[in-house]
Formats: sequence, structure tokens, C-alpha cells
Amino acid sequence: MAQCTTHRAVDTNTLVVLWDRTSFDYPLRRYLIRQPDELRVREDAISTSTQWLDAVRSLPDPQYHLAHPIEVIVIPNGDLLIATEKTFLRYGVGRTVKEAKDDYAASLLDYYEDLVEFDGRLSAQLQEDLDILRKSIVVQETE
Amino acid sequence: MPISVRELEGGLRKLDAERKDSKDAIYRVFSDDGTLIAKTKISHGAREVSKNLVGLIADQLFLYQKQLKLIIDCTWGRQEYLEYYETSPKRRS
Repeated sequence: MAQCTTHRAVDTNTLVVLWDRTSFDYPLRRYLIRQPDELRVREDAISTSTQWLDAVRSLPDPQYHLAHPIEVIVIPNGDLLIATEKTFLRYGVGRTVKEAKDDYAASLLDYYEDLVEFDGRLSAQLQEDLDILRKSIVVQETE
Repeated sequence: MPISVRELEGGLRKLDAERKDSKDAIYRVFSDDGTLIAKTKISHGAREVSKNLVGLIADQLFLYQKQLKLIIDCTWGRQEYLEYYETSPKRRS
């Protein structure tokens, strides 16, 4: 049985990602820390708390509104930040969190517009994404 | 390891990905029957793509980084990609 070590979460809403020591392709587990607390993890994992959760609340085109905020993970990437999520698999990059989130919002809207354009000629997953996005993105009727 | 944009774009061309230029370079991959199966982007102006971004681009193509590397290295072409895509564990449905 794997040994456990104890890590102390430093902040609320910190996403602690545990990686296998041999590969960064497969996260072993993600823990969202809602309350500062101790976290016990297996010794064969390494952890990083340099990702955090945020939310995108608007889209770049005033014709479209989000029915609810979309939760994104913000990841430092050298001098830049990446905002991304695991449902639609879109990402945005910027020098600030706002820039990264704005770029993410533009990518999400561009993705939605493509899915609408190819509706009926989409793979099962992309069709499912379109169904979810139709509930998440409200299109303002033009007069 | 970061990958040069040139290599990555070369890989996407091997998939016959359709390019659309907007704020970013958008690549869309269609199956042989014209179904849109994947979409990814590369920022204009970038010369190199970091390991984190390569991972996200691989995700958008429903690949692991090692399979994306096979495409970039010319070991895999469009046909191998489409065959892998059909059973890719990265797909939700």
C-alpha cells in the first residue's frame, strides 16, 4: 500500500493537482480546497498548487450572454497564464488573468459558432457540447 | 518539451485540418464523411508552443501528447489519426 504524506493547502479555492512522478500526462487526482485543511496524498504523487479556479462571466460579442458563469482553471505558463476547462476543452492565453479569461471567452464563442454552423454534421461529443452550450449561451434577439 | 509552431502546423496539415485565420489560426478536422470531429487553435505570432499548450492542443484533438508527437514526427498520418480517434480514451462519447 502506498505511503501517505501530508500537504497543507495554502488557500481556499486552490486546485491541488497530484501527478504521477513519471508522467505529467495523467493527473492522478485533483482536489479542490474549499476550506484550508490538511490533505493526505500518496507518496508516489507530487503535488502542485499553482493552479486555481476562476470563472468566465461574459462573452466578447454583446449579442451573446452566458446563462451562468463557466468555471475555468488558471494555469501559469512561463510569463503567461492559461485559462481552460475540461468540458469543451477550449483555452485562452494572456499576460493577466483577465486577458487569459477574455481569450478563453473568445475561443468558446468561436467554438459555439462553429458547432452551430456544422449542426447535424458533428461528432457525438461535439454535438453534445453544442447541446450543453445552447443551454449556457443566450442569444440576444435582434429587432 | 516545447514544440515549434512550424512543426505543429506541419502536423495539423498532415491531418488535412482546414485552416481559418481569425484572431488565432484555427484548425478544424473533419472525418472522411465531412463530420467535424475536432477543432484547435494556435496563437498568431507565437514561434513556440509550451508543453502546457501542447497538452491542451492534444486534448482538443482527442490525443495524448505522445500521439501528437507521432503525427509531428511523420510516424502517423491522417488515416492513423482517424483510426485512433474512433477509440480514443480522450473522447467523452
